[in-house]
Amino acid sequence: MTALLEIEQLGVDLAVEGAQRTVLRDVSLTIGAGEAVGLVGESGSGKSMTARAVDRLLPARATVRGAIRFDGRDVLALRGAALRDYRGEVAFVFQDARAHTNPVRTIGDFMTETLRTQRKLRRPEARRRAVALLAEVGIEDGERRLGQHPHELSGGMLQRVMIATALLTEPRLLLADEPTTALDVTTQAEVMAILDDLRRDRELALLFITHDLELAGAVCDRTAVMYAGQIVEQRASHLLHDDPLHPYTAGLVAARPSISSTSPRLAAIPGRPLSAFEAPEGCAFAPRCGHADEVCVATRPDVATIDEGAARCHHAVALRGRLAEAFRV
Amino acid sequence: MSEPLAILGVVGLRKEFGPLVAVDDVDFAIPVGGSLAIVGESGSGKTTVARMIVGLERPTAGAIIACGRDRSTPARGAAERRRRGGEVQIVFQDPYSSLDPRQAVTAAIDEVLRLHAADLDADARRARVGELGGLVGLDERQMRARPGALSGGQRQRVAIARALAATPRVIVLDESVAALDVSIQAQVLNLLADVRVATGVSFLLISHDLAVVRQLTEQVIVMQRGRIVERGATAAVLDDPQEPYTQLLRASVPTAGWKPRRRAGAR
Ligand SMILES: Nc1ncnc2c1ncn2[C@@H]1O[C@H](COP(=O)(O)OP(=O)(O)OP(=O)(O)O)[C@@H](O)[C@H]1O
Ligand SMILES: Nc1ncnc2c1ncn2[C@@H]1O[C@H](COP(=O)(O)OP(=O)(O)O)[C@@H](O)[C@H]1O
Ligand code: SF4
Ligand SMILES: [Mg+2]
Ligand SMILES: [Mg+2]
Repeated sequence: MTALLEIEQLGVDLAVEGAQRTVLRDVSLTIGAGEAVGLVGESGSGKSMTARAVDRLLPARATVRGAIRFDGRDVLALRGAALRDYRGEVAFVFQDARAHTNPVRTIGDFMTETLRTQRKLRRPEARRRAVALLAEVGIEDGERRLGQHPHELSGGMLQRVMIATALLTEPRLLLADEPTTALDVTTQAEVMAILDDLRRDRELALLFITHDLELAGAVCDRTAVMYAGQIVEQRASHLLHDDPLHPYTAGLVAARPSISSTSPRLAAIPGRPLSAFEAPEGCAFAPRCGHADEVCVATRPDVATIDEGAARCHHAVALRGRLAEAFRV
Repeated sequence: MSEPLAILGVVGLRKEFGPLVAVDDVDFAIPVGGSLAIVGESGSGKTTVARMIVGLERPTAGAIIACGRDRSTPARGAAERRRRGGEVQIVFQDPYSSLDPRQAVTAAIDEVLRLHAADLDADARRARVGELGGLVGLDERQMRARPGALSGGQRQRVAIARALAATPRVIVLDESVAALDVSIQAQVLNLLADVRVATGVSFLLISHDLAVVRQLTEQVIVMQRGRIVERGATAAVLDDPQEPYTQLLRASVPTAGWKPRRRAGAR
């Protein structure tokens, strides 16, 4: 598969309480045309900042290191019209749909704005396209919906409107940042099914951000796990659960309660997740890792390639096969 | 008596908001030391049930009996309000808004002790605050901090410690672990299990997360549009759901190998 998006050793510093602090460190990730990749991690691990860096939506005064290429173009160098065209090819869907709409504007105005102002489409044509896309995401009475305001739509309905809007410019890559976290579980299943169908029908590449490993596995061929601003493991999604390569991935799997059984105690990971700038020298996960030794505390591990996967752990090879076991109580 | 005593029971519970019937003829009973979950779609009336139980909302009809006493009408006087608070406590979803930002953790817990353990003197209260902090896994620095300096998981522990300070017989948990990161959620779930063993407290858990429901409860009721549509032992209902809505709920949970499917007639 040829790479559509290449992120190479991306580093980002942001202004936090007056000082520049590192929030992403050495993030490398590739997405092929039509490929779905999951990005999983706990809060503050840097998932949103990764997606924002790709869409050039970082906060002002961010410092960026490394390279991002889309279809061969240098994304970090894009300006003006070239940047605007790029954003038509790489669309964003946010977690909180309501916060990204304007309560006094109609769904129709919101959906067709880019087509009218940038693509110079006439209003009836823009509305016709919007209605067609609403039908694709399962909203049949699109014409009526265009006249409504955001508060008249449920959360699940509004998120479908956001997905349809993102698709209006016919992007080749969709960045979906926890698009279902605010939805209840039955609505989440519906929205995920729509995303999955769209992606296949349109050969759309997808970066799907979530904190739920199983959810990522349901739609993504490959999943990257983030911790403290770094990708700590990358692997075929179906292997993450039973054959994890990094102790943190194994810990995440083991900490989740199960829907089909109970255990007196869950195998909780001690401590709390850290942001990159809070992480110690050496391995960022060392303070919480049951396998940490002097090497882990002293030196930051590089990425080791193992079979088809990769892990940022000194002992990944030695621990292989024992990680999932060790957590099973 | 042949029947096991219920620590909390509701009978024919109903709540109307204008023309909307938010809760419609709800019955359930939690045995002493038992744990019951309410699941159901958004807007099905779960939080409204919880708010009526803790006296934040007045039922339109029906009875609520906790520790053998009816509490379906507003408490008459401070003493009765205090007694009710000593029987049932609630922990909300949002660890950010449920604490006073100006109050350090120790003061926040002490405040509850002053109300519900009036026989303790200052020294005894200080000792008890320390004990409760230890029980929920907060260290001394965290105990001196204000909520703003704590993480979401730590704040949720503070909220649980405050609830425990009233030595309630029942704790209502309304999506209390939903906002927490996976690794922190596991810590809080373990803490709740430990507290139950240590104190014999009962839980009424409201959650969209069926795995959390399975981990924490023995009984479950499923609500849809204000009514109970299915009930039973948690394991039985989750393994073999009978009602179409429960089946849909169960099928919507992503587990290994799950594939999302579009369904007809979606909202
Ligand atoms: N104070 C109120 N005034 C009017 N309507 C209300 C009020 N509180 C709740 N409702 C309505 O009552 C119904 C039940 O709401 P409730 O908050 O109990 O739902 P829930 O099951 O807790 O949902 P969720 O899963 O989204 O938390 C909803 O239709 C809600 O809009
Ligand atoms: N606008 C901002 N200014 C400064 N720091 C930020 C900003 N947004 C996020 N951060 C910090 O960047 C880190 C990564 O955040 P984020 O990418 O949002 O994490 P995630 O999406 O994985 O939860 C965190 O430490 C967060 O506090
Ligand atoms: S490098 Fe060491 S501390 Fe880090 S994850 Fe691997 S074993 Fe654990
Ligand atoms: Mg985020
Ligand atoms: Mg609720």
